[in-house]
Amino acid sequence: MASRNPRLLRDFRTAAVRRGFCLALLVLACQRAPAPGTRVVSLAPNVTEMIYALGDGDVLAGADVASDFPAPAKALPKVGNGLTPSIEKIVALRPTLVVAIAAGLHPNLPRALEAQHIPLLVVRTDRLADVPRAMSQIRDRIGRSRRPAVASMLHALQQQRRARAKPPRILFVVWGDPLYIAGRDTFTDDLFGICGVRNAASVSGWPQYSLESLIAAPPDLLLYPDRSVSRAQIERLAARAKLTCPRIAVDENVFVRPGPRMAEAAAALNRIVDQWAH
Amino acid sequence: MGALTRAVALLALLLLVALFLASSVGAADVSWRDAIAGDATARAILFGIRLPRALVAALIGAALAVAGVTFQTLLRNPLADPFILGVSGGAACGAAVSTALGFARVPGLVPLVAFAGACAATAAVFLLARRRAHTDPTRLLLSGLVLNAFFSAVILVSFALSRQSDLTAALRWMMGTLFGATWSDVVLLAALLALAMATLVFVANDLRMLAFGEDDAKSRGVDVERIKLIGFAAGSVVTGAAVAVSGIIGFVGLLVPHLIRMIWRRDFRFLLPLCALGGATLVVLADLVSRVILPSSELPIGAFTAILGVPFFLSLLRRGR
Repeated sequence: MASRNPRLLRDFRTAAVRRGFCLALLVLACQRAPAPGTRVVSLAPNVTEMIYALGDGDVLAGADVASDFPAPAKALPKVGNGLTPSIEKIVALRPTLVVAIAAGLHPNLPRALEAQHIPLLVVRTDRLADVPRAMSQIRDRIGRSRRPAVASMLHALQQQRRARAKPPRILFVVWGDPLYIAGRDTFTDDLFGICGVRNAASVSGWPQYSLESLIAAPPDLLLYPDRSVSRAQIERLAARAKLTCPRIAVDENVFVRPGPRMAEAAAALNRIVDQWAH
Repeated sequence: MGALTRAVALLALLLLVALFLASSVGAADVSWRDAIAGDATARAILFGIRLPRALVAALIGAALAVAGVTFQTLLRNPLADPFILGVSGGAACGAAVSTALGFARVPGLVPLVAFAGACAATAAVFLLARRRAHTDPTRLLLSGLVLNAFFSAVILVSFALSRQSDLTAALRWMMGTLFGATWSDVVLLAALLALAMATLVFVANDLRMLAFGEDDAKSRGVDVERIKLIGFAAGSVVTGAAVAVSGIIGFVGLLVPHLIRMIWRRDFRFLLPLCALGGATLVVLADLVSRVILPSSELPIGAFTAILGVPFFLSLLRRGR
């Protein structure tokens, strides 16, 4: 209709430009700089990754020793391990916010930081849906939003969604001896859901898994993290449980850190499964 | 009296040196000089973190050593200590079960249940060992040992049923740590320890009589059963409070009273203050070592109470003092 009426088209364009301009102004207005002197200490590698993904890496004053991604995180002053960080080092960095994950929180840390009047944000990252929620919480607390990181992560995850006619049953080993695996109700299981595969284990959480269950219901594919579990351990396990399925090492820091790289993990998992299907 | 004063002065001096060291050394590069000059960060670290932690270490060491010497005197058995009698096991069991039930997400609840566990364990051990209005020391020790085995089993089952996220915290707690100690811990421990010490000083003379045997003590007019109950209650309350704050720190209750006895060989009235000071010094030093030996993590403090204490203990044992 617009193309048949040049004037209407011009009006429409002008209005669109105006609206776009107003929108741009609004977006600019929302892009507040962080409050001056915002200094954040992250106590978990996935939290550090989230802060960098949000484009807020410059507010990081320190991190736990496991925070090694992206590259600039390696150069951050380290405050010890995430569970029992050095409170002295945290205080010395004069942070305005400390971010920790609920799964790795020492029960004494909240009151120790409270005694120092240092605000603590605890985020849950147990399930995949917790990750964007945690990122939004962190973004809101830091107080600016330079990148639509949450939306783009959700979009990237959506792009990895698959429905498979013959979904393989996958076992994700997290520790070799004794055998610990990723069960139901975990972010790994959620990742399986996105990629259209099934968890070979029916127990929930991160339980110690019996060899009998493994033999009784062998998986179609066995995945294991490349740092915590060795090839030799997996081969011993396979020999004992008479496993014939492919056994594939995956990048531990991508697969077991519930953070912004979960879409990357989903893509890698899809590649593995596609290859298996052929 | 002169000997006691000298010994107390010596140990008090040692404790002060240990406290000064513990509050001077740490992960952050700050000094007392900065703090006195008014540097806010240095003040926050020294007064808000190091000093309360060092004081909590001292109070816990004193509490465990006092409980140990009290139990050993009561039972006339050199092996008696809060761990062997099941008091710590009860506290740990309370903490583990409440963690499995998800109480860890409510601040302060796990320590409270741990404290209740210590008291419940004492009551259980006492009731088990009691026969015809008489508490037999051997039965008491045996009941403690058996209850300990039971508590260990319950702890293992609770751990198997705990959520992964709670488990890490529970394990840290079982290993014992003074991580995150605050001034409120100092106040709580100081109040309970003062109460227990005052009670023990009040009955110290009767407790001393027990060393000569129960019949002897009875003939001198000591109400033996009452004294046992009071001693046990005081020892359990301080052990429960210590375990609730720091988790399990082993060996202090056994080691310190023996060390003190090897050096000074005195009766209960003499041993009580010396054990308190000795235990305090040992745990302050052990905590200092456990937190500075590695740059990025803290090691279990219980390991260092043993590593620091055992060589000293063995050398005294060999010299046959």
